[in-house]
Amino acid sequence: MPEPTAYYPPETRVMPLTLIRRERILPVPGIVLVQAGMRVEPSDIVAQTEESGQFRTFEIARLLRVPPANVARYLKKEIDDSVKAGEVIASRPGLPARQVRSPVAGTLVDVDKRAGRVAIEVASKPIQLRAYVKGIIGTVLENRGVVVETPGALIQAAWGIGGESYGVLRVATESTNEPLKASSIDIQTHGSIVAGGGWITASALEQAQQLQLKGLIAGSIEGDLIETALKMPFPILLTEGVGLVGMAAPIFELIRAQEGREVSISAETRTHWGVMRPEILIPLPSDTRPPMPPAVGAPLTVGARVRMVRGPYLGSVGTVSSIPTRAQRIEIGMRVHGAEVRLSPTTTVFVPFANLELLR
Amino acid sequence: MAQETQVDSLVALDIGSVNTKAVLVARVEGAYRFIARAESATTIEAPWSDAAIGARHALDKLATAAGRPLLDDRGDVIAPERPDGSGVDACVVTASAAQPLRVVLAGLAGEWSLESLRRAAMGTYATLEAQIALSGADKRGGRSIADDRIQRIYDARPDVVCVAGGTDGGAERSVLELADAARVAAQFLGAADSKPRILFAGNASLKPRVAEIVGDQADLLQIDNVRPGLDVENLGPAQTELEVMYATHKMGHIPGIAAVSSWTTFPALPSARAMGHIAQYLSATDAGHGVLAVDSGGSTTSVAAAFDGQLYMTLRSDVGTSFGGARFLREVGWQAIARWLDFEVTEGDIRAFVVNKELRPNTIPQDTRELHIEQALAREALRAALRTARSGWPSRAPRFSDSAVPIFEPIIGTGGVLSRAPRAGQAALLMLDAIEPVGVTTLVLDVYGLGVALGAAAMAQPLASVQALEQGGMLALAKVVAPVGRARAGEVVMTVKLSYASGGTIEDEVKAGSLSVLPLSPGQKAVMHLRPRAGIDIGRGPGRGGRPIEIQGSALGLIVDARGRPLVLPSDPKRRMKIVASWLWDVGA
Repeated sequence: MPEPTAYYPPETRVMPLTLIRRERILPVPGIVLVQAGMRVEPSDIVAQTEESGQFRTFEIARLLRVPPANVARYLKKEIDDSVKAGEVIASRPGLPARQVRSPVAGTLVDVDKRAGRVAIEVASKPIQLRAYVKGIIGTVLENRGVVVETPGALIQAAWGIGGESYGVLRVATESTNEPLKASSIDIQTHGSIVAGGGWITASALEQAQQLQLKGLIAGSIEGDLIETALKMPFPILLTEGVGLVGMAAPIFELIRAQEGREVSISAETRTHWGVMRPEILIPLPSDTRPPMPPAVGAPLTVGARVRMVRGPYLGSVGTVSSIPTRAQRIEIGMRVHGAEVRLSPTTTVFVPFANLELLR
Repeated sequence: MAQETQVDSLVALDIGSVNTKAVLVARVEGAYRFIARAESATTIEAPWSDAAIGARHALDKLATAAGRPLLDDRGDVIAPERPDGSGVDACVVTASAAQPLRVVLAGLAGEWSLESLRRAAMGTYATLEAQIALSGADKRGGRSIADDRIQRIYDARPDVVCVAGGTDGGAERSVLELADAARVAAQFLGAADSKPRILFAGNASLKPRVAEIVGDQADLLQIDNVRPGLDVENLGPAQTELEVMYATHKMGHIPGIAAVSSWTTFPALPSARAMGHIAQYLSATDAGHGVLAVDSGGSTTSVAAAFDGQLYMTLRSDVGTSFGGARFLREVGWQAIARWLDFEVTEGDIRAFVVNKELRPNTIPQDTRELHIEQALAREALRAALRTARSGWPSRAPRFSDSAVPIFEPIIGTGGVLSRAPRAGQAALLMLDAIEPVGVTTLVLDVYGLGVALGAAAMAQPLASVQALEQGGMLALAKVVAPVGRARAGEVVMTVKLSYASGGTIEDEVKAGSLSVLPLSPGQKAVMHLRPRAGIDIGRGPGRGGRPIEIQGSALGLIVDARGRPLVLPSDPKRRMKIVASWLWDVGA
């Protein structure tokens, strides 16, 4: 069956210099603490709010032994009133007098006259939203957050474990086929974000914990270590995925070129229903406004830089040398459409379209 | 009315979580036929965030494959069909790409109402975020039981809280307490902009009081009781309401669905429901057996079983061959996947596979090892969905010899891993291992995703579905004979003889524990004679072979699966790998 050659592959961004814009949004409305044009450091708090999500209900009618419909007249608080821990929220005079005290601090949010019950939303600690990346406040989104802007390098990873972090970038391996071991991580990297070209080993995780690293970046991680990695107190970013896979060469080269700079990393990953990819942001000085990231949705063309995203060439990067019009047979016996990819001057391989992505 | 319009051609679009498929059906020489199909990556996620982009890519490919333009200059489907042959008369849309409904179930423990609610919820794309049983609850986190109930609903952030309990005229107070907890949680969630609906499907006599409790604090839907009597289950109304909620509130929020929907005059249908229509249609022709359609999808594994025209849908929206693998491993254990492999793997290998597949859901295996792991995962996902489904199938479903699996004819397999299996034997063995069919049946592979397309096409032109289905378009994989009964491994349990219409016969003594294939190529015909040993049943009574039957050729021919039911794999890894390898060899996989 003939098929057109147009194929629109997924894309991964690996950009030495671009304009980075990151929205920082509170989960619920709150107060924005900065103004447009202000310079911010990653640790600066740009907005804050409170969110509880914990509730306690009190059967006032039953506890005071009064009809539910009469509960309101015995309440000492009204809706939206704050309540201290141990404070009386309802009382009934007489013999014996009866009182209901709230064991928790919070806000009275509901009075159910039918059931004779009140509800208190438990007070919570404030949520503080940090800038995450060094830059300038480009936009203030009233009551919700800000947009931080900076020129810099942007690298999208494949998988992450943990949240956000920032620190000085240190590179611990010389190549993309060198595993990241304890011996690769020097004691002088204490408190920094360490990157390795190969895959993370068990000893590297132990060493990273001891040195209180702020993050680990590598090509991949051994599958047996996933459960251990999930318990680490710092974010882990993997540019290729899980297995024994070295980092794509262009990513490793870019990371090496920026060693010693302050970087921000986010390991947050969501694979569907609102995709989020982990990322490495490296703010850079720039006299001119850097280019915006290129528009997405480009079809695959000869000359495109592509990365293989499934075995046997997982993590390899090459250039599309031709796009055969006919489907080709692959090892498992399927005939599929794909591209010829030049991995080196002497090696060209056929890769199904489905197993390619653009590296831009 | 659109239904009354002449429909000579139609295109069916199915927006899956991984791929978007387009199928063209047209009238050729007076009968509707499958013409061509194409697929492209689904584009509902960033950076595209627009389902219409992937749909246009698929339609572009389809247009090339079919040799007829389908999109106009603005990128919209050309309809109706033009005199120059471009465009189609109708377009129908199905989708499984939307996020499933987040559902909390609340019922009375030990009264089956929760179990009935669970079955109703699993009839559509839904994930069970919490189940609250009134009795048997404990204090948690220092909260009272009543507070814990409210908190659990709140924390689950559900789209809908389903409340059941009490037969009609039965329990009252406890059921009202559940409705009240749902009301309070809904009120709090309303403040957080995520107010759920409340679906009440309990004691019918409580409807006015439930309405009074909920008041205007939440959107309340009251339907017939899922358990009107202790021995009576009534899932239909709950399933219908939940499916409507999914279609309205979830499918309706797929990015770009509005543009795709503008190409059709019919409402977008959940993909699983469309597949269910086909099973339902096929089952209505013969009450002597059910029809089974299984779909091993990217984010959902679904089972549509139909008996005498009655459909029973079961969806596992939390496990597919691309998404949900890590969570599924926690449920079944990595060994459950590894046991279907004829080579050694470690836990790390399986974990790496499921994570990498979820990160790159569109990718396909390039080597045999990865292919077999992917197929092993699909086997277990289907087995898990079937375990859930079986409990909801009616006791009147045709069965024999106390078999857990009713008699199905045919069994249809679809979904990426099945339809893209490089060898027919791989797809057949996957279905046999997952379903463990009994008796005499036919395995059919829906290679082109025609089932969903035709199930949806029935909205526009019922005749198109029927004719296109009968004209082929699905691949007949194999005729299967699976005897049931006690026998020692290696004992002869039956003899099978094929008398070919073209001349010649082949006879085989079938031994317990064996899997064998007798050739019968597509286009060939043969008469099958079965003679089971005393105590062995092939669906015609122990020891009875019944009349010889004429069978048609297929990709594999006749598979005699005498491995026993339930299928038991050796616990010794080396023996297990050897036997799995022999099964793969036997079916040419």
